[in-house]
Formats: sequence, C-alpha cells, structure tokens
Amino acid sequence: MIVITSDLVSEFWKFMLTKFGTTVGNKSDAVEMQIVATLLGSLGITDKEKFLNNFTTTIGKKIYTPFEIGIESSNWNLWSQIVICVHEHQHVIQYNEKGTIYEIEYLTSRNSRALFEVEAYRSNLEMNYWRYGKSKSARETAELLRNYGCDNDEIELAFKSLSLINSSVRQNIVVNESSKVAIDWLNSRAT
Amino acid sequence: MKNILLLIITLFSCTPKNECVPQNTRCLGNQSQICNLDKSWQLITDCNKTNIKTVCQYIDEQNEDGHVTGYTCVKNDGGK
Repeated sequence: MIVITSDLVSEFWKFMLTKFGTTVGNKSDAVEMQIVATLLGSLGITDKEKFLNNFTTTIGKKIYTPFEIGIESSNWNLWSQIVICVHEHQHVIQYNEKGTIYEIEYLTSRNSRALFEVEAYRSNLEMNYWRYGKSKSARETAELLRNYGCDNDEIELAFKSLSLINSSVRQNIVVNESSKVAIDWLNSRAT
Repeated sequence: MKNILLLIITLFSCTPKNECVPQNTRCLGNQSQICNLDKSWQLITDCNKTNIKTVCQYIDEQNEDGHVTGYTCVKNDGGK
C-alpha cells in the first residue's frame, strides 16, 4: 500500500532524473517546445495547442511537462504524474539505444512512432497493474495513438500488440526497464 | 526465347523471403514478435528480459480486451 502525496511525486521524479541522467523543464516556458509544436503541427502529427497543453514531451534526455511536478491539476493528478514520468523515461531508454535515428524515425514514420509509443505505453499498463491490480484497456490505450497522427491500421496493430502485452501484465510480468526501476523504488516506499 | 526469358525473370525476381501477414504473431527463440504493416517481423517482448521467468507461448483467451490470440510471454508454469 502506498499513499501518493505531492512530496512522494517530487521525490520520485528526482530519483528517476538522477537514475537516468535526465533533466526536466516546463513546457510552457520552453522556446524549443514552441518550435517543436509548430513542426509537429505542420507535419500533421498533432495539434499545436493540444501538444503544448496536454502532452509531456521528451527530446533526447530532457523531459518537458505541461504541469508543475507534485502539484495536481485538472489534467494531471499525482498518480498520472508518476506514470508519465515512467512512460517518458522509456522513451529516454529508446533514445539511449538508437540515438538520433530514434528521433528521426519517430518524427518521419507513423509506423515507427506507433511502435515506440506501444513500448512506452507498456509502462503505463505495467504501472497501473502494479498499483490497482488492473491494467488499462488495450483498446483505449491504442486509441491514444490518434493523438500522434496514427491511422486505423497502425491503431489496430497497436491494439493487437497491447492486448498481448496486457495478457503478460495481468500475470505481474514487467518488461520495461523504466517500470522495473520505478516499481522497485515505489515498493521501497510502500508500507 | 520468350519462355526462357519468363523463366529467368521468375527465378530471379526479388521476392522478400521473410514477408509476413500483418498482425500475425510468432515466437522466435524466446521473443514474441508481431508482423508489422510493412510485412516485417517486429519484437513485442523479449521474454528473457522479464522480471520473472517467462516463456514465449501461444495464448487463446477471453479477457477484458476481448478474445485475445497470439504469442506472448507467459509465466514459465504456463501462466497458472
């Protein structure tokens, strides 16, 4: 049993940033995020305003959040701030593994983007199962890929992958490195 | 002559050998893979990298996500 408090969320983020050598910035303050938002909008990947206000974004090893860490907002409750931290760190792991190629593929190929996101969303499923003993719906999770400019074919493929992933998650199987690190830390804080 | 040419074209035409049908799944070693939209195999899960011992295995089950079939990582005891 763990109680998610503002302090715990802040400590958790600090731990993950140190562990993965990442940094964090506020999205609304970052000029580079305005540029990325315009780029993504012009590529048809996602709506500019939606991107700036609703999505946490990672570029290389820097994570940009649309919320103040540890402070609940209407879109971001404390647990979702933990889950998004784990999700984004899985993207950092992808970046560490493939470098700039990861970023190019992510931006230029919908299919690759869907694959990268499916892997990162596995962290969401793993984290939710760890906390609630119930994983999120594969369908709802796959549908989130519409926000990333993915079409029906990519979403159906993501749904199939996430359904199979969910079957593993329901057996308490954890695969993503970011989830393993996060769960270990959270378990050490549980009473 | 025409037939010989056709035979040569057939024999040497470039047919990708590993093409698969999108959404099909398989185990390759202890990895579960899914056939991607570009008809190439894509890793879903490396069952050697799970937190507990797992094997890649075919499942056919009804659960919250519907009727789920395909290859994925399950606990080494068969998920029981």
